[in-house]
Amino acid sequence: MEKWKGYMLASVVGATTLLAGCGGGNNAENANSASSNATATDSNSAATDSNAASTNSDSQEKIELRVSSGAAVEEAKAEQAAIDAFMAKNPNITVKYEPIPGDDATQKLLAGIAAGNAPDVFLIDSVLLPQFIDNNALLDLAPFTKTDPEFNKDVWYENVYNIGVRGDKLYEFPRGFTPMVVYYNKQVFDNAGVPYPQDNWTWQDFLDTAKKLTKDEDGDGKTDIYGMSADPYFYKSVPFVWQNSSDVLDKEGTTAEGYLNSPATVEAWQMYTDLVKQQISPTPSVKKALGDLWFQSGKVGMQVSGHWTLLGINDTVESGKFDISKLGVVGLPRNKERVSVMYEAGWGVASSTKHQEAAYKLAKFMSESVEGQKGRVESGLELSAVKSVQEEYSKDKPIEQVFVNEVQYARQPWGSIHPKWAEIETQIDKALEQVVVNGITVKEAMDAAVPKIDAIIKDE
Amino acid sequence: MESTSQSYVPSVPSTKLAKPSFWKKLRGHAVGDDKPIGYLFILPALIHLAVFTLIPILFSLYLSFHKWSILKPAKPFVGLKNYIKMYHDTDFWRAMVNTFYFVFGSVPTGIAVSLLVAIVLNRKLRGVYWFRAFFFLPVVSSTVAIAMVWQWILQPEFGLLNYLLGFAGIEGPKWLMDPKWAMFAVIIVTVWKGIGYQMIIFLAGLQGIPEHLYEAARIDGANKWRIFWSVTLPLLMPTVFFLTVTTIIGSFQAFTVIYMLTEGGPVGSTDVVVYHIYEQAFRVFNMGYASAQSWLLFLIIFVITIIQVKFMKKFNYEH
Amino acid sequence: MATMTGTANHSKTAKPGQLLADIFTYGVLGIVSLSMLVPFLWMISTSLKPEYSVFEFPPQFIPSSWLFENYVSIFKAAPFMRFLYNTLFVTMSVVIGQVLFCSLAAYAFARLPFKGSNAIFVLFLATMMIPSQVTTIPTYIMIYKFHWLDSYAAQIIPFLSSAYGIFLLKQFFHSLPKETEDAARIDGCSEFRIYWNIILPLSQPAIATLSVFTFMGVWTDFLWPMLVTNTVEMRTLEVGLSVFRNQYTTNWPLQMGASLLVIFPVLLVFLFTQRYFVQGISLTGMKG
Repeated sequence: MEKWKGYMLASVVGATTLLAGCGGGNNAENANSASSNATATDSNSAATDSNAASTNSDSQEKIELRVSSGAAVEEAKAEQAAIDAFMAKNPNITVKYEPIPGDDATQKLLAGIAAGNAPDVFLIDSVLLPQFIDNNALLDLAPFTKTDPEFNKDVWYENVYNIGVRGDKLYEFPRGFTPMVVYYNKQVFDNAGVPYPQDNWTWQDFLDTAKKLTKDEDGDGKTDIYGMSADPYFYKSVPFVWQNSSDVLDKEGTTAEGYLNSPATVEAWQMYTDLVKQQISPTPSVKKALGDLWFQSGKVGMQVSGHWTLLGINDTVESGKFDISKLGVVGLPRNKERVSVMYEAGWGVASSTKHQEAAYKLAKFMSESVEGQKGRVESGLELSAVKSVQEEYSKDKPIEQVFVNEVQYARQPWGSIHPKWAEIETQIDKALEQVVVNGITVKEAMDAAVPKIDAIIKDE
Repeated sequence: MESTSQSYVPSVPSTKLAKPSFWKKLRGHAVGDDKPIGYLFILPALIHLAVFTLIPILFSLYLSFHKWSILKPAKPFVGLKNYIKMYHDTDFWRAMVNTFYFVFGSVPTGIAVSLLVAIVLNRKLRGVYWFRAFFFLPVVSSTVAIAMVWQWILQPEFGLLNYLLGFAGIEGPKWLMDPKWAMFAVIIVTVWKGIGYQMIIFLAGLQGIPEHLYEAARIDGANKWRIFWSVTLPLLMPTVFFLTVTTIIGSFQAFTVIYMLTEGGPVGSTDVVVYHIYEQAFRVFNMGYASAQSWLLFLIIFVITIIQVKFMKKFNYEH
Repeated sequence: MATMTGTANHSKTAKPGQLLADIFTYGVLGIVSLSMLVPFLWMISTSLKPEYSVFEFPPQFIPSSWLFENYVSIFKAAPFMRFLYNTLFVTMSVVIGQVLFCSLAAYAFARLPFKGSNAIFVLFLATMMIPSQVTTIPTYIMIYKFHWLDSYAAQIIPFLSSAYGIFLLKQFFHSLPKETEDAARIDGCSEFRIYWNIILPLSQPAIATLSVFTFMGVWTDFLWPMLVTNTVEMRTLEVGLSVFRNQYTTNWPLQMGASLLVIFPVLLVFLFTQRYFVQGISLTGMKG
């Protein structure tokens, strides 16, 4: 086994040395083009500098900014509304909006940055922040907030705003977010004669409810109605670990040993994954995005999800196709602590921008402007990070109020803190899958995952 | 059929022949195997290839010895570090084994099934145009729709397949959620989706077989099975060769359908190499390591392709 | 007719066996084609559903209500005609380029062996073996340096020839009879004239096949055109109509409706050309 891997690698290396002739030439060419590129941008920025100098006399420098975001139709409309409002307020700044259709916005952003053609302002998912910050791709916005008389961080939910904060630096203005909550189908509860879950319920309440909802209707020994859809994936189940006053890494994120495999962590996930073993939850859907499927079919009583599950419901309700009174939402249950997790995206400024001040202004405006935030909130994708907008919108909507109430308990995810998180999460998800699929204990799975994760953390 | 052989025969050293003048050769009037006018014919494609394909490929080779986060211009040289990392990356080698399982499970099955379909649909059956169109549908249908429908079919508790198996008294496996069955299920979906595509190429190939050869075989009293083996299949070898080579190349790099169906799970049982490459490049931002993995994959595909080319050459000599 | 049924035919005797075999063939074909149809039918039915009832179980293939207004929403959300124009222009240009450049090169590889032609052919093949995941960004950087971002050039020029197309045509050229060409050579025809006047006309089935595949590939390509276009005006259908999904969510009815609008022309092209490339005129040329 080891040997043939060695042979394969040796032959690749051999083949590449054969190619070294042209490879070397290519290197030189690359170096060349890189340097010529550098000079090109230098002269370019010099040009804009002199341009700035010449127009500074009338203090109204003409500036053009590009802003991009991965956006579906409604979002794109909302962003455009915010941009129009910004341009009305800042007539010297022209903003070109580049909405990115589809789900590969990150690749486009990366390609732009790699080519030295990044948009000045862009929407960034909080789980990409650590890598972008580590690689100096984002501009520190804190210096600008200090000289900005209109800046007031109380506009945003405090813990949401803090996702972009690193010490005394600030890397993004939050746009929107969602805490994870429990959705429940009232029809399933009514049929089973089980009372609806109440705010601040406990693990015991949660387990009792799930068990009572579970029904084997035809008596064939197989569940027909499931109490809970317990996808074991980390992004949904990590709050249960936190609720047990535990975590998966130490505070500094240097090791998993003694955290991922600690008794409290293991206990939380054992409770969660046992739901599948006891046939209280169906076999988890492999594709994460399709998790809502069984819940909506009325075969499952409860599931953990974010605000996106509500997306489009409003249209459907208006057209009379869905009875929204069947849908219930409640905060996550508590154990030693009450805690949830939240996922967020915000506006950052490219470190390469030539108009830092203007880009700062735009990013801030995109985040706090009522024009943009209102449209987005109404589209239903997420909660607005701006307190006043979200509270105004939620006023007469009980479901929205559950989300707002959950915000105070919501913690930022590891992905927004740890630069290696993508790889670490893959390992934890694999371990959790082993528990559900292969039936090993959580303790065994986590003990096996710890050295792998520590190796990922140590690898530079 | 005599024709396929010659492209792989190394050209006879031209010193053997009396050398015609350069211009004569260029106009293609030379007697012998060396026809330099061929250079002119491939020139446009060659230049295009060099600029738009070779440069990026060589750049990735360069990257495989460097560290690059994509996010900043710095690309420090790291020597063989990416390759050494790969050597110790157990998940990657697991994915490599899975990839081989996937390729050698799906390619021969796919080719055999689509050849069968093509032969059936090459007849003048009533409604044959419609059948061909139906088989073509999965080729163009959105991958998401395909994944969705197959997830329904294969879902363990509510799925159609296990429901049907239940009638026969069989308790079906958990398919996509069972590490023992997931790759098998993925191969089935892949073969199913690819039939229409390969069928078209086979149909075009079948059209190229002259009718009089079949007539001759029938006059000789050959039965249909025999006609298939001694007329259809040998004359179809250039097509089979083309499909095998290109499908193997493609399958080693396949991941969209797999990703939509299983995301590499459960427990990594459908994890394939290109998914690792994708993840390293666009989730971990480690383009250097992704490039090293790509170059190992390249080497493997290259060797397998060369083996096929050699095999094909031998096959043609025998005929 | 029925010349090549060997494998599908289990009959030993003539007429009644043939009938049974036909019934068997139709039965199997029917079941398999049905499975091929299902995802497509599901796309159609989903595109007419209200968003919240997409995931009913068991899947409902007949929507409880027919929301044809979904299609109105799709057309309202994006400049459809502009996308269609862009897509047609880009696709046609690539198809013409591919047919021309690939057939030229394939002819040389098949009929005009020269020093190093095998090596060069293997080089062409080798370029198919590096995953695009690691070449996309370098190519993007190059296009940026050429100042081609957000233009037709970026969507057309990188695809004007392909190793795949060359290989496909080369294999087909090998199977053409050589007699006509040789006669032409003796008559003093230049190689280009042979290629243009003899080989190309004989190769229509293969060229049609390549055209359909190229058409399909370019028409439905997403990642590359998404990367190189910034403005809505430059987008193709597949990219322009992806505005019903983002990283987090998808509006399934509208997305499926949009996908159908994108693939509908591809299906039309397939239906209208299949006669041509499946029952091509190759046979007339083959009986030399």
